[in-house]
Amino acid sequence: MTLPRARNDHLVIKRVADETLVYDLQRHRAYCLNAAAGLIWSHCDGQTDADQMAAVLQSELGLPRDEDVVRLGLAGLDKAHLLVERLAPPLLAARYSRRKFLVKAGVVGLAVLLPTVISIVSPTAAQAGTCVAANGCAGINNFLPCGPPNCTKICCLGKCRNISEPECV
Amino acid sequence: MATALAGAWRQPPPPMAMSAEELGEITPLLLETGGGALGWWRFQHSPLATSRAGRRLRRSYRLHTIQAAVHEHELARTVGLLRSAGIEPLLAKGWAIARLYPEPGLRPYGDLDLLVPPETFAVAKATPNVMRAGVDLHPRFSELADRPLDELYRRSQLAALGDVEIRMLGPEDHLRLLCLHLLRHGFWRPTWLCDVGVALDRLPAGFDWEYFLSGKEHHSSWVMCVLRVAEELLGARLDVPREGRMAVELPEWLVSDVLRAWGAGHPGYARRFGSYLRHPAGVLQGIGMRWPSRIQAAAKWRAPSSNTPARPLQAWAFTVRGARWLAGRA
Repeated sequence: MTLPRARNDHLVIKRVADETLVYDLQRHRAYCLNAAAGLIWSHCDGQTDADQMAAVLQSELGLPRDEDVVRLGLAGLDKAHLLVERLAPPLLAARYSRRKFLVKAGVVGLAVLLPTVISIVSPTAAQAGTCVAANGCAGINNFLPCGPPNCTKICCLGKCRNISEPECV
Repeated sequence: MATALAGAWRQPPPPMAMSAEELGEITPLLLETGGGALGWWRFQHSPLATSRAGRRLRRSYRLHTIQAAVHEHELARTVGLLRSAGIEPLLAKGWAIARLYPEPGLRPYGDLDLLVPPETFAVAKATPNVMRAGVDLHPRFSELADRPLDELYRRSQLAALGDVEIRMLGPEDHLRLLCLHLLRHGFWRPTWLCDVGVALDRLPAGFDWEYFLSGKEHHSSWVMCVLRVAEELLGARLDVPREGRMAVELPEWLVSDVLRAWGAGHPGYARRFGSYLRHPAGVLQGIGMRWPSRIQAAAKWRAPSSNTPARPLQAWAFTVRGARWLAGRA
């Protein structure tokens, strides 16, 4: 079975406190990885298996040594296209939800420690200082407001879209 | 807003007492005007950090932080491309001021504003992969039209961004541009005044006040007004030596107009003038959006001490702008 490898091309990565912020220059998406997800991602070197990652999570963050926690994180990284190859079926087979894991572990207080990969989007388009023409979003990031009308949309996945569109949230 | 942002750019920011309700009240405005990350910086170690408003500010901080990293990536790439075409660009605003904050993601980013010598402007624009959205090349900075280009380059500075050296305006020219830029836009974004506060905090030893205030006297007077407003509203450190002192009386309406502009939030983007010729609906709204504020009209057409009534000036400024647009189409 191929072990997961982290993508490192066409990404802008910024580590802030215990979080890892990632911008995908190809897909024009931004993500925030919490400490556990960041730790898992940093060990995706094609040589570390889920059990070894679980041991790291246990020693670094005090999480229970459980491969399902790693799988939860890998599933998030996979969905965000932050791995070189899509996950092999054995790793995806046990795609645990956070709730299922918490029920299994019986420790609700662990919730904030579980690996999380969340998408970052602009809360309001006006936060940026410019307005891109409606046809000017090709190849640029999803932070810039665009229009018309009245610059209320954002450049998202290379097009000027409503901020509420599912692919932009 | 002013209370929340006063000194917010400092490391550490000054402590302040604010209730969760008060923070909740100003948070939408902070977010809308690009001050969310600074808001988080101010409140991150307070009990308000875990409030609903605090969480929204934190999300904004994340956004600005990764946006800053992308902006830096784009800046290094664009400067590299221009240099390979034999052009030395000069940066203003953006990273040039963000690098003086404790973290570059504490201010919002818009365009990448790069000055290139006019004789290289066409080559720069034609350089492959340079003119992507978000890159704004200028043959001159209109705010610094009273300064020779050679002087801007002579006084420019280099700063390292990773392994790329970025050339940017010298501190005197940059502070002047920051002040005139926010006047031109009517002060609506509070973080622009924070930029001025940061620049004042980080003035290098030997800052040439005389040169800073040289050029059009009318502009210099208004620049001093901006510094005074930054001091009054945001607690910026305005420690002007004797040679830099310029007797300027702050118009009594200025601070309240600035606060009003902040309260109004983002002014929105008007349609192009020409589009109203084909689709007249909304023309009144369009005029309203282009109608210059008292700050904009006064800063452009009269000295701070002048008592010329504002409304005729605003009408005049609007008419001149319209006339210029018509002349450009003719």
